[in-house]
Amino acid sequence: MKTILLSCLVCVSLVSSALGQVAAVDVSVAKMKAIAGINAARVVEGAIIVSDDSKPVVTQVAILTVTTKAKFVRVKARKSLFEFGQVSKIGDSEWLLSGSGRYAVEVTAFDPELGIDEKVIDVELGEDPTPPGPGPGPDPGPVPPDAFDNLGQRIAKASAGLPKRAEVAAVYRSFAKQLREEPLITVATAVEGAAKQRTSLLAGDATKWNAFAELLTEDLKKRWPMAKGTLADYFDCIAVGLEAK
Amino acid sequence: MSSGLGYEPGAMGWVVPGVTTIQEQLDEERRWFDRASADYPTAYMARPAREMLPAIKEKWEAFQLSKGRFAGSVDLTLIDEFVFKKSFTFLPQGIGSCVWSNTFRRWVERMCVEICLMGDPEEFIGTTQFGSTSIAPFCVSYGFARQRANMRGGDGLYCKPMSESLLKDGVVLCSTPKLKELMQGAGAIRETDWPEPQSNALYRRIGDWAWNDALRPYAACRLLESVDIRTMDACLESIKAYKPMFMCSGIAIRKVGTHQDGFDIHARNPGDSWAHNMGIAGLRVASDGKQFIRICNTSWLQGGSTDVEKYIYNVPVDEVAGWFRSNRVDVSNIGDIDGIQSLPTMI
Repeated sequence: MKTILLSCLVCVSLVSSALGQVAAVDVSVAKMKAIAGINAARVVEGAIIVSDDSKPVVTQVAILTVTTKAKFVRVKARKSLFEFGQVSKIGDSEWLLSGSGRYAVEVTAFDPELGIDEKVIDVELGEDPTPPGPGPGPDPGPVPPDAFDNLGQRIAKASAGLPKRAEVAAVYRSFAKQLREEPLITVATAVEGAAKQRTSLLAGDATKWNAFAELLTEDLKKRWPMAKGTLADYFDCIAVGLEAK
Repeated sequence: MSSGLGYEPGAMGWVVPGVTTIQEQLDEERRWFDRASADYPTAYMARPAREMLPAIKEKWEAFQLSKGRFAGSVDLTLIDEFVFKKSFTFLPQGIGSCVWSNTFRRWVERMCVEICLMGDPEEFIGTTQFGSTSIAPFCVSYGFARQRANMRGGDGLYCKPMSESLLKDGVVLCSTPKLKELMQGAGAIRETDWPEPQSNALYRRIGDWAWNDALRPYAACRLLESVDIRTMDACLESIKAYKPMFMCSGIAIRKVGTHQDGFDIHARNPGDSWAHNMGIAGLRVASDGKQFIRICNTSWLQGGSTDVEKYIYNVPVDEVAGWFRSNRVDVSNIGDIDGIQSLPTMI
């Protein structure tokens, strides 16, 4: 099949050449940044001013500029044999490619008089800051500034959209209470106990909480050792962050 | 004069080499302290008392009250039951090891105070009564202290070398693998051989430094504070800071009455003398407000008895004040311990 197509192209090309016209296509790629989620945007003194309720999300995109004399142009971006990227025509000779990943962009130019030409170029766009599929859950409500460098706020941000936040908050509340009231529990058993219960509770969702676990590990290491009373306060701050709506 | 205690005195062991009278022994304790405190002054200075966790304090005071200890009591003989819901009733001393045998019990009490009442980020060195997971440190400290005092052969020790050993050597945990190896080699394989081997011959070998070199590298948890207590005020201050004490003296005890609350009241028995170490484990306030120092002699627990109260004496504060005024006692406290730092294995 490939061989036949090639032969056709050669024939067309020869015909075109014979006719003195060429449907040659050229493609240039300009990687840009797209800012979504903004309202009432205006540019003032080099800054983009948007409304206060905007929730800007920055992603990498590519503007594909196609230069050809051919009448018809088709642009496709292929991630795999069966998977295509998002390509939109945004101007007479401009197309917008969006969505992270590596693409084989196929630009085909065809003209009944000039013939056909095709170019395939390799375009790679960076990771989207937000995962594909359903968007993140509603932003947690405001968490007041609190101890341990606003731990509650940092936890609220790190756990936004994660499943079972309320249940994990309850684990930390429970251990905070034990640290304050139970003579036998030690700080090590409290930290380990909370981690084990959290992992068990989350089951298959545990990996989604990796960023939370990393934040907690790094933060606790900086503050260790912590007396029982202080650790109880720390756990309560974690719970506040997780309980934020 | 009959003691009225209901048992004969057990093994004693307050011994100072080269001297024969109680007064000379007390004088040598004082001389040792003068040298040791000049060498390492910070260790003999009182560190500030620390606050308890509020909710724990409330529970502790309620627990003491449930045991007939009224407001103002600090009875550290109850702390094991408060924390672990059971009493640790260690076995009686078989040799003259009282300076260790009654002192390690105070060390355990202080460790529990720091972790459970004050909330320090430290771990228990063990959580059971016997075995390699014992909450008590191993008795090699008896050998460490005797070596400092250059005592070999015979039984006994005195208080100030014990204090110095706790400060400078630390203690050896029963869970130490090297200790297990030594115990197995010596045939001491029963659970009850930790924290004190039940073979008198083995205990005496340990007291004669047999395991000092092998175990000293594993010593940890040094005491950071061991104040020399010379007055009743200093004694009460130490009690209120939850710092138990150990006492070497020639004081023998007798029962002198029964309080309306139902407990025995004790005092010095002028007709007898015990060259012995006992612990000062706190203060008991009775329903009528009268205060009694808890003098702990549970290293004499005899005949398989678990009736520890028979071996803990309730001595009126005024009586004990008289002991200090008459310079009859040598007392050191067990203050802050540099415990095992808590290190969680997962976060």
